[in-house]
Amino acid sequence: MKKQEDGKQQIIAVAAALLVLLSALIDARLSFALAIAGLFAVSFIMKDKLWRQAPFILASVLVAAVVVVVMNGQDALSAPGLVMGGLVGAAIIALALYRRKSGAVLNDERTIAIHNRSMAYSWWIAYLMIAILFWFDYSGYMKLTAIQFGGVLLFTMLISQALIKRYLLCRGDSE
Amino acid sequence: MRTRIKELRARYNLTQEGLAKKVGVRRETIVFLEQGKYNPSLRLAHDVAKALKSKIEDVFIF
Repeated sequence: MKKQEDGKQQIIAVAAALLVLLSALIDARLSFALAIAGLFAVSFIMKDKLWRQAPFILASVLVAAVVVVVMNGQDALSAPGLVMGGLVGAAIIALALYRRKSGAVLNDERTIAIHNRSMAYSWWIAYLMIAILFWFDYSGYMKLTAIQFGGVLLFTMLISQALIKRYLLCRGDSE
Repeated sequence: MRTRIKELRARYNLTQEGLAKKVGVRRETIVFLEQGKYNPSLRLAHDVAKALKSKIEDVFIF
């Protein structure tokens, strides 16, 4: 039953990625908008099971992004970020399938609690980072573009979440 | 919180991995439970006690 559900959700994720891909034939911006809308829709359909399917969805979208670039007639090699994204996506798919196949319990109540807690901390750290960067920029100490600002926040959240999660996993109680 | 998981596990010849599989958690969770470093949910406490053929109050000592 559970396997059937997993299969259904993976089909939804692949269908969403395909839809994004097909829409790229019409307009790249439309495909981007559909990708975002698709992520929200899939997260709504899957409800509490999103955390199990998230790597699969993310990977599908990343792989689709590379194909979108190629289908739009652009030279994929001129978009190294997307190529890298596609490779990361493929690696995530491989890892997710490998871990699922091993049959080990990947997430129990403790790891889920730790994951949620590390997410909360990383949001808080990102908020502090926004405040710091804002005042740096406002006071003229350093001028940042929107891309730089977004990049700093992206990596702050990713890295802080991973580090905090690792720390909490080594500790006993997540409370 | 103290637990008698290790003692009961030995009685029923269960490894940490085996108990973890029985109750559907990671082995690390059993390790921390045995060390009294993790407060389980009521559901997990019930499952562990059931797997060790004991009552919750006999496994987890507050």
